[in-house]
Amino acid sequence: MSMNPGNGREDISVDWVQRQLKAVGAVEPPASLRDRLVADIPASGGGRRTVRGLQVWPGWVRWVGAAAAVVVTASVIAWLGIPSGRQGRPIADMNGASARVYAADHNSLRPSDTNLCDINSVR
Amino acid sequence: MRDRSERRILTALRQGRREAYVGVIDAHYPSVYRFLLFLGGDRHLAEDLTQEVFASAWKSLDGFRGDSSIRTWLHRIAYHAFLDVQRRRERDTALTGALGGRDCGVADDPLAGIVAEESVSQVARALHDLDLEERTLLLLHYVDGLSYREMAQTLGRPDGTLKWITSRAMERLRGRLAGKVEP
Repeated sequence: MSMNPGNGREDISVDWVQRQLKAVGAVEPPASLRDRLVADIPASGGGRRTVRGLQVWPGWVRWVGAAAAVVVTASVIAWLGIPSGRQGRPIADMNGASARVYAADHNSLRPSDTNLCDINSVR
Repeated sequence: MRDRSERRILTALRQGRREAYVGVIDAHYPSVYRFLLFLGGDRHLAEDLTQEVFASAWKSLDGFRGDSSIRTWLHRIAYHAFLDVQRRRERDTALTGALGGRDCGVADDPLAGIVAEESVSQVARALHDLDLEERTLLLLHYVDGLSYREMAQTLGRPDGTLKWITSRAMERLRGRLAGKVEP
């Protein structure tokens, strides 16, 4: 504490003022205020919310959704048969001409294919 | 965003977890309330505004990027909510004055009964007599313990400027208390 020559009054230390300000900070809010704030928690405080317009689902829902998407995709691929043996593969042709064997499709035989399986053919 | 725990809290809030909301309320509502109480010197206004601050925070949760701490974010909302009320009051006062009426918005001693201890009460009154900017800075720095960097994030002004104004505000507060209190 020192005397201020300007106004003739005792100066108050910064430390003392800071302590008083800290004491000001000890004021407690009324308990009812907390109840009001908790009551004001939005209803989505127990459900899902959005982030920038996108739905945010709980973690378990997202995992189940991802698994379901994988299963559906795999099923669609299996159903379409991609890849399958229907496309045929080139083989060596005894006649020196390229030909395809349609192993699964017996109706797609072409004349040039017959030399592979028809031993009675006479050329 | 300060640390991982705050990031987790923010994620939990965005997922709508109730316990996260309650946790944020419990951690921050006393300081938000005190800030508003000594900013405006009105208990009822402080309570209503605290409620408004949290309601507004929940609404703007998606827009909060986490660049500052949750505490700083809430104080920023509180400060702007108070400024809005202040502007409304000034408009109402001007209107009341123009109509030749009496301004009923301000109590004679708004801080009466808030602080029991006499010296603390004197400091609270002297604080209330400072201008809004100085009062805000002293409250944020000395009462709520925000750093100058956090204050800069709250008020959107350079921290060097705020440091200087806070120091000047402290001198003014000391000047107002001189001769009124006995340390």
